[in-house]
Amino acid sequence: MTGRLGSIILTIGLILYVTSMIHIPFSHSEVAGSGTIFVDEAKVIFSDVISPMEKVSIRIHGFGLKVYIVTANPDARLDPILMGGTVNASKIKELIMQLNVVFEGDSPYSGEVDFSHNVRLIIVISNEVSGVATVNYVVKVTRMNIPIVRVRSTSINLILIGCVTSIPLVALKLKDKIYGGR
Amino acid sequence: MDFQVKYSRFRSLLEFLSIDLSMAYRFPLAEIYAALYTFFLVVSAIPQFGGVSSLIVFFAYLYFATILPKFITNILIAKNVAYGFAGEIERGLMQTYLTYPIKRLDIFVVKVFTCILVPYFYFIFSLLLASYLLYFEVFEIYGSQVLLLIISVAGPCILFGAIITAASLFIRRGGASLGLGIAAYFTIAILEMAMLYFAGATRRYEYILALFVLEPYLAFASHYGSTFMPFVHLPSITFEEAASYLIAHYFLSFIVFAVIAFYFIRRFEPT
Repeated sequence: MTGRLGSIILTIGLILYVTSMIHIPFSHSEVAGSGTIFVDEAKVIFSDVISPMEKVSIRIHGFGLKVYIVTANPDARLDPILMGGTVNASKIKELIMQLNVVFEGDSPYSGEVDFSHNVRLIIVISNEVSGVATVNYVVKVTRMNIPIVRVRSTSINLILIGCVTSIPLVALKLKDKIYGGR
Repeated sequence: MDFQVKYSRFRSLLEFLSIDLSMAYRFPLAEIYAALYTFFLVVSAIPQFGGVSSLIVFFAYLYFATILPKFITNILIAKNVAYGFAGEIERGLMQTYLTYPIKRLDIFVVKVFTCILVPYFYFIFSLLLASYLLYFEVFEIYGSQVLLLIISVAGPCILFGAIITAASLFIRRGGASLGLGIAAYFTIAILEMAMLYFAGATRRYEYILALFVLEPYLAFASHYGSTFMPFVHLPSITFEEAASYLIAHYFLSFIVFAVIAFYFIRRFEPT
């Protein structure tokens, strides 16, 4: 029975990893918009609670803008300006820096985010350099059947534990192979 | 120098357990079972919909996602008991085991562990893992209740195992015992459906009592409100009552096992 528990854990880990790849999208919701942002102005385009069962894909078109993707505790009491709308760029930047910044970069931006716990996701576009910039964006929230991040991270942990604990089984099989069971 | 190895009951029990486990679960079998359980329970996830409580969604998951794993567990138990008990009596292996310096009770305990408790723990652990992964929030808030619900879902497998063990000891033939096990599984399922219908339609106490003792999960469903089963109208009961049905269910299984163990120790002759 040496190492069998390890090989069982390894199998569970591998199956979980494979299962995390066959996620089924159940429903979609979309936030889309376009407009102009003047210098020193920022726009909170998305501010909502995202569960581990949801995957968010973000597409922002337009040049010369800063994109901030920030997460906050879903139960935390936030400043009303973080809930949506057009606000002052320097003020919102100050507030953003107090939260957990997942991404900070220039537009155009395209990417996907998902989380292992419930979080409030805030996406901000800010014009910090040019006079007037036009932007159009699409934020699509897809509800999945499984929490991909959690399943994947657990599967990797199980694979690692399984690999280590099944060493005696592999060693025993190798010993039998090399010494012919003597 | 004297190198006498002292006889230890526990050591011989472990030795016999190791032999029995390696015989019942040869190399890829245990891994295949683990893969099947994990796969079916994780892919059967039910997503959270707006306006529906997370506990109700978890309830629905437990009810619908466990249909196939429960069937696999029962078939596995039937197969293990048929070949582990009846098959070994048929081939004369049980006679050899009884000549070992090991008590009959220990043989019985090891056999029950290998044939019934291992598939049961497979089911319990895979359900715990799936619940932790898919319904983390429910798991975090209602941890102990989730555990009780999982135990109540898996409970009938033990009772089924006890019935099959009793039948195997009398039939003493592997193939016939397996056939009887599969037939018993479907008979119990039909009986439960009939009782569910009668309990819902007549609301008579005897039917409800029998139904809740046989299927304690339904007792919890009726406590929390079985909104995911709109075709069943069961009376609302308290959590303590539901827990007492669960205890009664396991106690019934224990009584059946105790009677079989008594027969195996005192009366059973393998020839």
